[in-house]
Amino acid sequence: MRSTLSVLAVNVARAKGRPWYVVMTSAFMLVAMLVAVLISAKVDPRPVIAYVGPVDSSSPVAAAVRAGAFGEDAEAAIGGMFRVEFVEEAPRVSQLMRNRFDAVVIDGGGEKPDVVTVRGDAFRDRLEAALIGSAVDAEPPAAPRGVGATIVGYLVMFMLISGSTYMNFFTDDKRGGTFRRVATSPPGLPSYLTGQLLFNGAMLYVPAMVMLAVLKIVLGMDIGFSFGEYGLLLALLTALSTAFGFFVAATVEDPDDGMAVAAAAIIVTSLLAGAFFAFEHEDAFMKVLTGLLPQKSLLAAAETLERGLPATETVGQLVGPVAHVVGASLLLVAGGWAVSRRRFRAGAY
Amino acid sequence: MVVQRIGHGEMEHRGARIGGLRAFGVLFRRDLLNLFLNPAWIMFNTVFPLLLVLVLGYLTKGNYGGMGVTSYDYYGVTLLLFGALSTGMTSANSFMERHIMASNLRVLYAPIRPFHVYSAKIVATWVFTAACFAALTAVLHFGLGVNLGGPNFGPVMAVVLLLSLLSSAVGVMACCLLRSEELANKAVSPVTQLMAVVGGLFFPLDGLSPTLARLSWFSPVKWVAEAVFRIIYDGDGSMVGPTVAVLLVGTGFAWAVCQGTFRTEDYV
Repeated sequence: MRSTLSVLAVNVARAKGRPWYVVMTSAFMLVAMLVAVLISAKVDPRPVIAYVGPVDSSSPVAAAVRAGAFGEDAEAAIGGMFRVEFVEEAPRVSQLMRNRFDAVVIDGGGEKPDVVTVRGDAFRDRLEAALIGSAVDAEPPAAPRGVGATIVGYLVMFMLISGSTYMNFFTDDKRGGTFRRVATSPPGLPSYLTGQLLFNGAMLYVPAMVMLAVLKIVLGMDIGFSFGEYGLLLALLTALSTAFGFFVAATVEDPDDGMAVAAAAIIVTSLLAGAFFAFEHEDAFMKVLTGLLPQKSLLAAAETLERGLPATETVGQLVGPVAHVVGASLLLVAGGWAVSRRRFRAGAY
Repeated sequence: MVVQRIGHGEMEHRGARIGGLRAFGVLFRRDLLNLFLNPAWIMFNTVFPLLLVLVLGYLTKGNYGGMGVTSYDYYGVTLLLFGALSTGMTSANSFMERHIMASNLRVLYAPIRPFHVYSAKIVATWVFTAACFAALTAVLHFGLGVNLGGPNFGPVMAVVLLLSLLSSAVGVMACCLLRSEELANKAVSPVTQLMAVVGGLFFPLDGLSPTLARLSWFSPVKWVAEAVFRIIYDGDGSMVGPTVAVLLVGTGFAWAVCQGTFRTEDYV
């Protein structure tokens, strides 16, 4: 216990000598949170249609569009399922590629308009049907995430990347001989590694919570969850980030290679887990595969909290995801720990 | 033999200095070899972007399909740009690698301009990633049928490669500015990802809301992506000139900052 504390004390002293570490991790967390707040506040999930045609024409298409859009109630255009923008000229194809518009409707005054889209046939059929006025079922609403879950989603990638920042101390110690020196002394390897893990976790958790407080109290923004809920979610994320950072630091001896491997793994898995926006997997195999990712459970936990169910139900739904994230973190720590111990005993350091 | 004092305070023996190009060539070859001998970097610049294209393309398959366009067409292009943007991670990581610190320190004591040390790294990283992208684009085009501009492939690649050069210089600049490789790494990586997210490389932001579309213009990558998409899908090269100019000016700026802030002592 005492020796764990002294590892912590030494690390605090080292971190003091590198104030940029703290400043930078905090700054990136804040920016990620800000982007998340901005993104979730303004999103309109409806497809965007560029309407090219005489605005006051009496064509059937214009009538369908006009039903809502030309009146006061632009929201109701084409059954309210699409956001319509009126343009003079047809937008470039590159704007369709970049999703600036989902489709271009060129109204030549006839019965059927020309629809230009890079989206699939299902989308085109729905749009065309809506344009000639037939009733169409609205796209199943993709239940957009609230501010809180979006913030957690955006933090996933950045926190995981930051997880390896303070593990540099561990890598330095292995290289400099400090690790062997401590591990062979009476306190031994367990208290040293525990100290590193605790320090790393604290250096992620505290700045993240402080930045959330800055967002809410100083900038007066709506951050969705209460601090208590964030306390739980960020504790899970911190545990996962620390465990992964530790696992990489323990298994990949060269920190530069470690950075490359870790960044690649984090980006791919976080995107697959739907950190930025949820994907619906149709494929059973992909469902199982992404279900294994702890990030997915973390996001599920955030979404559960967002639904605001009665307390008992919420707790019931949280148990699984929380156990998954904690279990995955413990597994990573155990793996890294075992590798560290084996290499230490084999005399690698 | 005349002895004179020069900028960094070390003594220079006139005539003994190794010719500029030759010194550069020696360092450049060594740096390039170092990069090619590291499997982690090769994977990071080839397999990783390809994996991202496959994953994201697969996940968003349903969002495309009209006009012969697939999701791979979108992500093939944006993730190639992401690869180019990540060049800075490679250069920052390889610039002050521990096992080349000692040899670089030795080089800096030799009569070779410090200019060659970081310039060789910038150019070597650039050439290395260019080779990786050549392999990557071949797989994207022939394997996944990604539209990379067809007859306009030249201008597209010119923009991609200049973005990569800028990023390479910025990565080394971060090392010089922040005085430490590990700090530079930690800074370059999140900045890269943030620019990629805000620039819409991982998912298109433009359609979500007009405010968001405006926000994303703050990410320089967004401009580069716009230029590239316009070449490929509109056959419109009007943004190529300004984009190339801005990328070159940025590269020159980063190089100048390296010159101003590179300190031999950091290698000790």
